[in-house]
Amino acid sequence: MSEHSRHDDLAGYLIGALEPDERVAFEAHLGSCPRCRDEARELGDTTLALAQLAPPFELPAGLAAGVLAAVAAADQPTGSDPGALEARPESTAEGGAPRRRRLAWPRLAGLGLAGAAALAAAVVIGIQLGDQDDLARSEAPPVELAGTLTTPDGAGGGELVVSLLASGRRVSFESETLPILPKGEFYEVWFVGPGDAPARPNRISAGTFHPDEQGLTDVTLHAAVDPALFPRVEITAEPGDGNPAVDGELVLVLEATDVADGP
Amino acid sequence: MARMGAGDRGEPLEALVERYSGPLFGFGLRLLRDRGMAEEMVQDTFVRLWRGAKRYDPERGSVRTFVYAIARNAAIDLQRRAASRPLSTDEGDLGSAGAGDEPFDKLVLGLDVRSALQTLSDKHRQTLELAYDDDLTQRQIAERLGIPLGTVKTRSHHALRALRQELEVRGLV
Repeated sequence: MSEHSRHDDLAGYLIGALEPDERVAFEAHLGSCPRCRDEARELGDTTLALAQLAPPFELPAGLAAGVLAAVAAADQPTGSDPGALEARPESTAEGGAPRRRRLAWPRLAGLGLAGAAALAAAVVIGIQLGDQDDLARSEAPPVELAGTLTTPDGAGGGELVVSLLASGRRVSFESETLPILPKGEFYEVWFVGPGDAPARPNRISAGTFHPDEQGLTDVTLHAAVDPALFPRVEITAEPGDGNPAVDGELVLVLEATDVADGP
Repeated sequence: MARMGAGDRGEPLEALVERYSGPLFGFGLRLLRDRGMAEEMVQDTFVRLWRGAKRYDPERGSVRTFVYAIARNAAIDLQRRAASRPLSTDEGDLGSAGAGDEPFDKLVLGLDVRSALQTLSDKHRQTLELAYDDDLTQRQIAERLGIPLGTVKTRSHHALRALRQELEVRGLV
């Protein structure tokens, strides 16, 4: 066979589709053909990628249409007071927007059902006196602090808003990626004071919640606390054993040095 | 992603759906081993993507990484809700894997390559499918299709180059 036709075997060689004798002959050719070597190098990554080729599968009819319909359906306004959350500007607005902090959510890996020590996510946000210009509605209570929480892989997170009412503090938390907990377990929001320790807790619960069946969380909780005494906010995952003590394992703690000053 | 975060449910979302709904279905099929659940997972993933679009930070990783991380979480939640088998494939327990984990990355790449193959011309796609899915040599492909061996060799060459181009566009090579 002429050298010319040897080049033609490059692709066959790379995809492993040569007869054994062809392969041997091509390998010999490759040793002395820079042109083939160059092209083999160019196509190397593609060949490697092809080596991982997933088995074929059939797509259901109307997959894309079903997806778009689901997103459209999900786009309906949600219940309880979406205004307070959505009115918040994403970037600095006139009058000074509340400073946003991106806080690392604990990596929620290994979500096995095992473990009496439930997975806990702790969120600590500095107190920040909100600027009332940012509010969409004049009746809305002053936003004390607001934060976007994101997992390290960027895939999960939620929006937290704490507002100061005459009756205490209102916590709104919205997330579509908070993991659904095993049956009987739930998330609990805490306002935590200085010196809080497992043996000597110094915290007030704002209440408990769990994501709905679709993994969506949109809850508003309330706690009659003085923010000066209990400045930190934590969310833990509790075992739901009827014991009001904190059993959740703390995965992440941020220091209260994140406190921002004034409006 | 930024446009989606601003509420644009048109072209940016549709582009994402077109690029990823296929491979995501394959992904769901691998993890959940059920077509209905896989389809539900794809829908859940895009709903979460849609809702979380403004949270996407390009510094943290590519859109592709973001999409698959969300999909994995959606699969975990679905599996939990259905209290079905734990997520695992022959490659190991993918339920606790994530981006950067080798079996996970290989699976995701493999699905993307399969999806990229679909964009090739029929002749090119067929040539590679016969070689990879049916394990045929070029000689056997020529016999099966009743075309000259030389034609198969040319098609293989062009198919590889076309695939490379598509993978480049997707940032995979």
